[in-house]
Amino acid sequence: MKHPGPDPDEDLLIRVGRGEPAAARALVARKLPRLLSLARRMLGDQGEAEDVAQEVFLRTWRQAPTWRTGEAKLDSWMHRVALNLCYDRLRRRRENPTAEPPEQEDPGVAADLGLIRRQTGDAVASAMATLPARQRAAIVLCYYQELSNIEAAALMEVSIEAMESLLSRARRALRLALADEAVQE
Amino acid sequence: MDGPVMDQDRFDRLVEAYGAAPWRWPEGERDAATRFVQESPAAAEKLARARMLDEALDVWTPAGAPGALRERVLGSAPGWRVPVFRRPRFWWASAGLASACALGVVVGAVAAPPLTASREADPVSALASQFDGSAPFGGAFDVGAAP
Repeated sequence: MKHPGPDPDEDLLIRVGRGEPAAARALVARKLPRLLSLARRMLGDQGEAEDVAQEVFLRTWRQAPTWRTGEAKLDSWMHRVALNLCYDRLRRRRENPTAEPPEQEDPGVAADLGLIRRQTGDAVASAMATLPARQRAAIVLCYYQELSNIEAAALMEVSIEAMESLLSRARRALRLALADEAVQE
Repeated sequence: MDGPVMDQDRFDRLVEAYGAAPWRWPEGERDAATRFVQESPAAAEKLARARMLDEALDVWTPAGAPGALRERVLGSAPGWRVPVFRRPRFWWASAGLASACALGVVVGAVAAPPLTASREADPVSALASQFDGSAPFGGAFDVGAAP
């Protein structure tokens, strides 16, 4: 898929392809936190999210020397790879339901947050985990990854209308799940 | 210029999908939707409800990327060289060298022949040797020698 406008990451990737360590370091600094967040929110598990992020970069390194400029934005391409890897893992989980449930947020990380904030964060994580994978992906891409609706729709290979429908259903389900959680507490 | 049509129905669908923050709304509809909020009390109410969910979603922030993951990712990059002091081979070589040195010191201390032991063990002989010229610096005591 062609993309409009210049790709801000393309120069960096070309330099990575030439084996420049500084370019690799810059690309990792720019993309790793984003991709890890995506995987963490999709999978609800830090260890699995790290595996996904690492695999995305392995594939990026392999692509770098032969990257065809102007065909796809690197950021979109990396998001697509990460999303597909997450879908694969979610599918395996469905096929193997005895697998351990996703871990909760690391308490060490949340220790500095106020109790209410931490509870809200946990509630959102739990509510997100109940969404169907594609609704979850729509929220993660549009809301958390801050992709435009056009980018997110292209990435998920749906129309804008379908993307809006996924988002609306996801937000409705989240609102209900969070309301239920509040009633139970 | 005709902009996109914005009515209550479209505004509601927009907010239900993208939430309350205008910068998340589709670029082509953002201005019209922002104007619509000023004109419609129902729109403002819709926005307030959507904002509650946005605020809850904002609270969920997963842990950042740990340094070990960054190192693993960088370690697989083309052309990446691990600094010498971080390579396992460096530490094995250093440990080997240190062990060899320590062994040398121990062997030297235990097994080397006591070359100066007899002279040091007998202080009288050592003193006498300073006067009979057998000591390397014996001449230093020859202050009364004939010219």
